[in-house]
Amino acid sequence: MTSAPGDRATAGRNRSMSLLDELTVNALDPGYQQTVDRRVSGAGTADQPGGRRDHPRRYPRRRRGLLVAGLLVAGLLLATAAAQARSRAPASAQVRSSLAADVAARTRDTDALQSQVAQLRAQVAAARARGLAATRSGTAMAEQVAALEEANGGTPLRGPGLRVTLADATLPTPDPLAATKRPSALPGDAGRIADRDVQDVVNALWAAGAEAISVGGQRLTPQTAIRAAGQAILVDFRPLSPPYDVIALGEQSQLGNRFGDSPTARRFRTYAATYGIGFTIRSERALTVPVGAGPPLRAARPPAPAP
Amino acid sequence: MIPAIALVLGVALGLVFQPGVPLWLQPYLPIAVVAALDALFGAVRAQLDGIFDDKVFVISFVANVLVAALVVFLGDQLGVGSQLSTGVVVVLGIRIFSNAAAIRRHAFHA
Repeated sequence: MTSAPGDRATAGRNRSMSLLDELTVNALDPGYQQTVDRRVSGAGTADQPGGRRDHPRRYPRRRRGLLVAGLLVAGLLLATAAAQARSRAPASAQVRSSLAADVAARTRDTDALQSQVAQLRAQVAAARARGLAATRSGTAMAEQVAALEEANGGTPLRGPGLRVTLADATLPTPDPLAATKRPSALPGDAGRIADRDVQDVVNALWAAGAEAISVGGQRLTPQTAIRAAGQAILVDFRPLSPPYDVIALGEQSQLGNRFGDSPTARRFRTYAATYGIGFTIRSERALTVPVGAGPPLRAARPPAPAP
Repeated sequence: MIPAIALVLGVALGLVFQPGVPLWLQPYLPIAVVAALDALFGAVRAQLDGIFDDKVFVISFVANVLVAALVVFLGDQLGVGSQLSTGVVVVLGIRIFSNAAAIRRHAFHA
């Protein structure tokens, strides 16, 4: 009498939980038990103790091959899925790395073209020198051309000078999520070298009497721009990666003193103390700056090939 | 022993050759793997219970994988793909868990 409601409650709970109960109770494939039952009933109850005895018979050659094949497939499936998941999960990373490879390839192409340009310009210069050497006025002109080329980055130069190295602050990298939320005024931007900083340093070096400057291996010519695209600094439209090496050729002590006392250098020393950016000035005896990209042809065109 | 070696060999083969999975088969792979894991855990438990049968194992393995793929396919066609897959994962997950618990009881008597 008293137990009846309780029984009903239990039954009700059992009914509502039956799906889960079924799952946990019948976790093992019922097929295994059925096979055993069938074998036992087929062999008769008298044979049941012999179940152990015919144990070796349970793996005849052919069926063992079946088992091995099944497990082989199972392992293959697991490994394939794992490899698949690993290769697919960082799809965005793959896209990113393929883009990076693209950029690297294009940069290599540009480098190759650049060196070809340098070679051809050397040929042109040699031909011009031969042509101008014939006359007196030609020789004077050749000297003038050489001086002008030096000034506008047309020839590689070497000599004493300063090496100014700028580096981003080694702060903990900001949360990328936060970075996407607030594209400006990042806490991480405080210690990052921007294009303006490089421009300031370069201008201060010119003002200090530098005769030739290269930034990150790119010679500055009168037409070189130092710009930014995203967070990368572009010099002559080629991306640089930190640390940024600014090499200025000039009379060492004068250049070092004037640049060291410049407001820009003082400002950067403050930045280095406050934000932890890298800012070093080194005086070196033998520095080289490469040849710069020549001015693009605006009006001139190569002649049509002769018929 | 030989079956275990076969399993390891299968994994090794998969890792070494990394067979490409055709695109149309890719959605079915994860759930097929869960089904395969369920079959494997069931087999181990059956072995420990002393009622292992290779034919049952192979058939249940193949059928599990196929049914799981079929469920995903049906779900995709009906527009409930992810929900149906979740259901399958939950059910198989519970089974894997209770089989693993049974294996643990066999192995550690605890």
